[in-house]
Amino acid sequence: MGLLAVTVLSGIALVPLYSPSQPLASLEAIESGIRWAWLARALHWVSASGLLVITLAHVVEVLLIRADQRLSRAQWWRALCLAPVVVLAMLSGFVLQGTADASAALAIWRAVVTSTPAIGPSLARLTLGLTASDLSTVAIHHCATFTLVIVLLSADHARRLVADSRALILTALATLCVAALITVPLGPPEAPTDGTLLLGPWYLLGLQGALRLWPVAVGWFAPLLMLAPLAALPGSDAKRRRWMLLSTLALTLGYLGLSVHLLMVATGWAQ
Amino acid sequence: MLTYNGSDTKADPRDRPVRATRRRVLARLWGLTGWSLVAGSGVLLHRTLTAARPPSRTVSLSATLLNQVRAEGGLATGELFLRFAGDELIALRLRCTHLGCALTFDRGDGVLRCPCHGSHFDLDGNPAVGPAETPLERITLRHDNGTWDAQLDDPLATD
Repeated sequence: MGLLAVTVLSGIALVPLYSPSQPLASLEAIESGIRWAWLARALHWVSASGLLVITLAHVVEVLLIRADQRLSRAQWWRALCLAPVVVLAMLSGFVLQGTADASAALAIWRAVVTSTPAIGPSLARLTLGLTASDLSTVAIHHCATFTLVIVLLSADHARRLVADSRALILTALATLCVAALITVPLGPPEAPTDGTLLLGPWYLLGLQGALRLWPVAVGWFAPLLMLAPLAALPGSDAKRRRWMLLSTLALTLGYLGLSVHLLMVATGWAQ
Repeated sequence: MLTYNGSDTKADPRDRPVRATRRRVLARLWGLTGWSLVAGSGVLLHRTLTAARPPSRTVSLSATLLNQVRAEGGLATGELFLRFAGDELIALRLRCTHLGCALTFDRGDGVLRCPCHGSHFDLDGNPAVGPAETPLERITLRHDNGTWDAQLDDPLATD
């Protein structure tokens, strides 16, 4: 919750500095033209990345100590939905950069959403806007919709934020230190012409690798497949639970394998 | 009933048969009305979004640009790749048919490359290396009073 608070506050600081109609120019101004704006961007990036890592680690922790069995079905599903929504929020933030890799990610995101049966084209227009070049819809969803959904889904944890203010301050300080020390990556403004692959954000490399090999539907089907065994956990007996967890582990390892393979292809180690 | 740690607990009160009281029936009705509203809103939203079409654009190709295309044997400009085959001007949309990424023109190898998943297309727009399997979209050009116009529908209009 501390990381979420830092993400939201640093995001609020960035809102007046960012323009969806001139993403690259506004990012350049943030990075070098406006005093301390780079720190707000670094804080936003570090806290958001940390939020995803901590969310995934928390799900693993809950499974290891079997705390999921104390949760109601609705609580568990809310917690499970948090990870994909955080990924979507981060992906929308990545896309808003307007660099070559960000534009490519937006095109792929649109193709994947459009391939959803029945509602695909409408869903793509709702979430990504009417025209391929307009980032304002994505910006609104990044700042409002995804943030609101994340806050609602993590409401079960909100009491701890108030009760444990020391942890909140510690998290903010640690994030500040890391943000001050690192340089937030920014993709190339133009796509390379020499055949070098543009890589998506680190958490979606597996999906990018999967999309090289399988039809576009894998883009929405694979995340659902990875969540399905975990969603089926409530009410499972010990044997079924073990199978579900092993399935999740196998799918996660497969995803990591695809990520590594894509990295090898991008660096010329594999075809 | 046994919980996960094996201790006995009382029977779940939800397992008992439920009597249909007036309050429960009204609560059901409210629930049904709420879900109907949600479903109705969803259908309305879907119809609105399906009807919404992005506008198409016309791009004029100047004589200077066409001279450059002729001189260089092919040129990528904005969303288009232009080249002459004899006297015929060919315009291809620089949009990968796999997942819609913008293509780049590799002049050295004479191919159009997709930087997302590694597809290659030849200069006629045919896929040479996958995962893309279908040829690039060929844009119809209109020749009028010495100028060429390309009619570009937004890619989303073809959904």
